Amino acid sequence: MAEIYHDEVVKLPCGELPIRIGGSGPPLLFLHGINEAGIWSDFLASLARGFTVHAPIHPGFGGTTLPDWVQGVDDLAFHYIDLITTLGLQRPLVMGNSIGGWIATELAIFRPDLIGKLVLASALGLRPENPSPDMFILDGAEESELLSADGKPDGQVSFSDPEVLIRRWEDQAALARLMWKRPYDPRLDRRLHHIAAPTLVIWGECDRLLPASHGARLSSAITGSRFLTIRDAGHLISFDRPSELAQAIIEFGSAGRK
Amino acid sequence: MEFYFFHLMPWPEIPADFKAHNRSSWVVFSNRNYDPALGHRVYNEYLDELEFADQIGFDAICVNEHHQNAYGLMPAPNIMAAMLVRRTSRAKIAILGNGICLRDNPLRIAEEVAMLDVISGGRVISGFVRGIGCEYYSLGLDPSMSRARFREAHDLIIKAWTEPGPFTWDGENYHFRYVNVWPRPLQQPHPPIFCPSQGSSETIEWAAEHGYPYICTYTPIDVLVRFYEQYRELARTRFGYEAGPEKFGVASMVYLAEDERTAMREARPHADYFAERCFAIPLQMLIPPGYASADSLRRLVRTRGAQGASFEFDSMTKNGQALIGTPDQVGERLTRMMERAGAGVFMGMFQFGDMPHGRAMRNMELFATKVMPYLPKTAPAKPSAQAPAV
Repeated sequence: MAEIYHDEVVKLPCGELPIRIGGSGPPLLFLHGINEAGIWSDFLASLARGFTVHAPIHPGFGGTTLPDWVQGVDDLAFHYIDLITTLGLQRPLVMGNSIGGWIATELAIFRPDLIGKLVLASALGLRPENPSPDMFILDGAEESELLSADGKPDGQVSFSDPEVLIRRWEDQAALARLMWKRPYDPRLDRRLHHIAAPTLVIWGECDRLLPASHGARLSSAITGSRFLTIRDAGHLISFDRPSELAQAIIEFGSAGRK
Repeated sequence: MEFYFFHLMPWPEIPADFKAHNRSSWVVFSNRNYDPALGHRVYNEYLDELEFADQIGFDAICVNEHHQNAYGLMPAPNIMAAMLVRRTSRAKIAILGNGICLRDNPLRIAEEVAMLDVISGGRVISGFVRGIGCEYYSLGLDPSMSRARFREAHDLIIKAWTEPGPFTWDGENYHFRYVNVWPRPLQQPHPPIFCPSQGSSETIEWAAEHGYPYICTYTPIDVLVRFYEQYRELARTRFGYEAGPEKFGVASMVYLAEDERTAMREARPHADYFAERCFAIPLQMLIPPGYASADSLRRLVRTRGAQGASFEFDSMTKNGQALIGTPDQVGERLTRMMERAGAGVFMGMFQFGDMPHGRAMRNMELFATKVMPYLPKTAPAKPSAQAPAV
């Protein structure tokens, strides 16, 4: 069954990496975004119907220890290059959400030979035309509003619960290493032409962190990239429209495949 | 027993309703609210108060560093210290402290503090701090790197003061081909280092390891006594020495009047101004992601609630964060607190919130003439029962 998954810990040169693997079909490496570390979401369950999904937890997220060697996005891009070669994944589809999209972009720049296709959903990394809002100064409820499609906080989460507060704070500490000093990489646009894989850029029409126009710019900077927007989705497309997002990726993944 | 006079140099005109439009008086409170003409007046009044403290018998006068806020207007504490060095002759100048990991090059602090020490004839106390969480927003520094940078900046500055240059510093966070600080400090091996803190386990351990005097600020006396016992215990069992009263300071707001009701009535609005306007800092900004360990954050949230710190007037007057009353009352309470804490340094804040200059000066003078004599001037305070004999 597609929903069945198992957890592994993979030994990589920089350290051990916890990873969840599930589903069947060609290999897909999923690089998670904000507030979804270690969660087998409806989105991943849908995606697992078309792919063997490999979902690692970025170091420092999801209650894992933040190692000293994580100093920037490129450290994680190389970590996941190590993962692809260690697991022997054959030209996987690499999909990144939000911060994971930034990591996926760098991975595709550094090792275009290793990946089959690239999907960037609400990807950070490219310099926005106007400064994006600061997530780090917001409390949990405010951040939830910013990331939502409708500007309302997630009603399912109790943001004043100390354990919820501390878990989010730990994820944010890991995120701080990647984007506190600058929430994008000014060198990225000079490097995007290294991406060789067929690329799909997906954006929520109601993204309040980075507007869909930003996604269009990112897509147009990647040769041969397709751009798709999704209605009623904010920055967290995988929460807002899980099956629609999964379906779009499954279709993109199978296009041109014999 | 030593008396330190501490100043924050607060902005005295934060509007009462500012919270309706601002999440904090730090980081995002617009500097449109800063009136330079008023600033000219209050800076000079505050400096007058620090100079007056030197004249009336305080052992040290203290400045500190905060950025882009209305709580404390000393973004460059060494500039304040420089003015005081030439206008005073007796008191030590305590910089509590320099945010040594807030600068890209900590050697700038080694240079500036050495200059102050040489010019003052060795009157400088050099506090080292990380800065509070807000600083990391205002200066664009990653809070999750704060502690590692602090420790390395400390090691670098101490080496720059104590070992002949030039040498190369090759660390994880800093790399300098030529370290060769001119001038060298007058005090040998270097000016005394102080460690002001809000009581994280990591900082207590670090201060105990180096034997640095430790001052816990904004902390109820019961909690403070536990923290200092932790320090003594670490010193004794792990680092092989007995930590005497000279290693510990107690910090409080002080306000005195001839009768208790007047003292309370006059102090309360200024203390409330401090609590509600100066210290309006959401937890997220006080302890940004990675600034402390998750365990420290958990302890803070459990013990102090989601606001991080409590400055409610009545609880402050009960838990020792504020000493308010007649000179006799404050003298007695202070004596007891110093004994409980086993502390040898009392650091008082005599101007707080929007307290006007005249009131602050009268307050200071009452303390110097009527409270200081309560406590033994030169002999160290008697340590608490649990503390080691000195």
